[in-house]
Amino acid sequence: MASSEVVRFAQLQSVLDVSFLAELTDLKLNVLKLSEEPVEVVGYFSPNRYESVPARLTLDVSSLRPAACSRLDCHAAPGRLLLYNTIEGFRGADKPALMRQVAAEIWADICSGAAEAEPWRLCRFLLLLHGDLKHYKFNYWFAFPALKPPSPFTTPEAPPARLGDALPPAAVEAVTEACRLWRYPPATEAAAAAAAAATAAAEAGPAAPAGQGEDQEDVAAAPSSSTAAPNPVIAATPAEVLARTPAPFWLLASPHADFSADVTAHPLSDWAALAAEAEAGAGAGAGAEEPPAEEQPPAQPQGPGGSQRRRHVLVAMSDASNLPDCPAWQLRNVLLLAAVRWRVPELRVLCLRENSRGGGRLDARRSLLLRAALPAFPSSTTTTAASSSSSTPPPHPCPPDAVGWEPDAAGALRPRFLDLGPHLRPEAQAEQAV
Amino acid sequence: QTVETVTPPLTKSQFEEKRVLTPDEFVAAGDYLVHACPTWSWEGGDPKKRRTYFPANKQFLVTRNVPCLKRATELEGYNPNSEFAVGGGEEGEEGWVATHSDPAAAGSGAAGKEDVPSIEAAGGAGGSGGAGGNKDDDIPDITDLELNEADDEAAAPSGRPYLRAEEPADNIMRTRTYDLYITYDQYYQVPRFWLVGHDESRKPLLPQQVMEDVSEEHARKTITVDPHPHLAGLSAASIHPCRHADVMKKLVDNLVEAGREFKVEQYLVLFLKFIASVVPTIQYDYTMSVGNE
Repeated sequence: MASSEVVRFAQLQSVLDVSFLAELTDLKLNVLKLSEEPVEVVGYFSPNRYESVPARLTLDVSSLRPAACSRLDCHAAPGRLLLYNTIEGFRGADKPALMRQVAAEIWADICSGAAEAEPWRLCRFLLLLHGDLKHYKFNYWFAFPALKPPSPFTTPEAPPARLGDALPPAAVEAVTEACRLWRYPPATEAAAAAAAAATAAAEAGPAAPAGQGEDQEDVAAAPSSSTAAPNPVIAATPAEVLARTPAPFWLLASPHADFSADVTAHPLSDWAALAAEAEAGAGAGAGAEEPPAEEQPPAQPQGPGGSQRRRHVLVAMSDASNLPDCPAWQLRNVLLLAAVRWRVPELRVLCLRENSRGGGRLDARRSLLLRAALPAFPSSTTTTAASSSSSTPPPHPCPPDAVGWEPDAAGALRPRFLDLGPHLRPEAQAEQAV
Repeated sequence: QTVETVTPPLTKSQFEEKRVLTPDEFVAAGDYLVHACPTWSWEGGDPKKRRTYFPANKQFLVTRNVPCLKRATELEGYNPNSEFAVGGGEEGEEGWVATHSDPAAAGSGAAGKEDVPSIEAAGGAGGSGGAGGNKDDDIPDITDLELNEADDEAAAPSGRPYLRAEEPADNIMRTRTYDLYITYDQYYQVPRFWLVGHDESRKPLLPQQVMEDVSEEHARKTITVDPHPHLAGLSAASIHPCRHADVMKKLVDNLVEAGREFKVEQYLVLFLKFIASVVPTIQYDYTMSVGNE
């Protein structure tokens, strides 16, 4: 590892579906009216499936009105929609302040541990929007806040290794299966049906929670505290949707350094337990177990009894990026969390991408195995963060800077504009329907 | 639509004779498709437009963000009549596959994007110092809303080339993407295929533009623009279902003649293979096998 390079992250691209803006128009006219209160929305992303399609976050009708059981193949990200009544209001919005506000929320979630229980908290986004509803013209601006570490994340392996090259075939198989169980848990139907108590016609699938099922429950049980949307139009609240879709980040653990067998998936909140298992052998403090074989010549577990086997852990994420050397933007906050909460100097990350052909399985040729070196946070930060369980007030007064405004089509940091007149004007629709 | 209100949905299976589907069979075929290929998923859509004979969460099928690298008219040697010429069986399938662009074309695009200079890449780590001050200046005046974010060395120079729709240079890849829907058409008792597209800068495509991605033969004859049955406010191009039963019957008969078994659950898998000939450049997954291959 002679030279280490800054890890670059593929920026997210927003996609506003016509159905989103049509629904939003309806909502604005009939429900929100003149209110400029923030609206909680849900954006969706999935692991990258096509080499030619960059990382995306999509908003469609179910972003505003999440139907009880849709989009289970995707991950949900919580967004705050600021809908301005006037174009002046849109232009005059204090964007840096809004960004700071979201950054502070992400930071608080990281420091308090909430982000480990509910990893979607790391994917928050911001959408400022003004719609000229009479003419179906929309100005909007997305921000995907990423907290900046004191110094950039680096990697010793300049282009990250492809999973298929980094691990033996048996390990790829084991990892694939563990990820499949996480992404498409057998219990999904049952959980979804439970969440959709309001909507009748629930699929009474027996779907016994098998295998990874329990992992889901942690996530499913926790939320409901936040984002109570008192909106009558919204059937399922965004919180319910977020709880229902599998978390976009999780842990993979195996007793084998090369992950060739017995690979299991765990929620991020299991980190402490898995790390404790590892430390039972190694005994050292920060990051003792993370860099498995390479960094630390196995200080063989002099573990008590042998009942505690040393486990190797890596973080997995559904990677929306299509770039061969860059994981998607969402990983930034995860790495920051690892640096602040877990205090490891290095983290291995599986960036999961799927194959568009042959049934959406993990694509070992395109998925990455990234080794990221994490900067140390100033101790004042970390000590307060670590003892956050006792102190509920903001553990750190000053969250790191955040970046992430989406550029427009020309690559400048400016709002984007969409004219849906040709799509939504009744006359235009009549013309097309011939 | 009016017909649907007075005609009850098909209840008794006519799959064997006419190769049409009852709602239950549609759900079974959809479940099979979703299981075989998780890039497709069920959705509930607008509750107001819900069909009562389907489960609330299984109203229609969708796969999203499917790339479409070039227009159908750019395909060389593409025979618009192919879907009626081909039978089932191996040779037929090769015919379908052959009409499609090589997915490897994506590679050249990836190379092309490096030609686009990145603003952020030049930034480097040093630039973040003055950021706090800059931001205040950026509370925009009306003419210029540009925001000056702290230089972010960790931002990948990604995506930009896809955003330049108007850029004429050849080395810039044009990736349209499509959201593809399969709904159930009660009148014709067959699946119906919908195309909702976004252009290179992620603006929604107009139906006329969608036509460019449909084989010429069909663009004129069988594509119609109708309100989406499950999504309010959305008009979309769809392949009119009037011929679907005929084509499906032909395809299934060919399979059966070749000694394959064809179950109703596989209907949509076969349907997608047929659709691939109508939209030859949209790269969705139609590679699942049918009939005990």
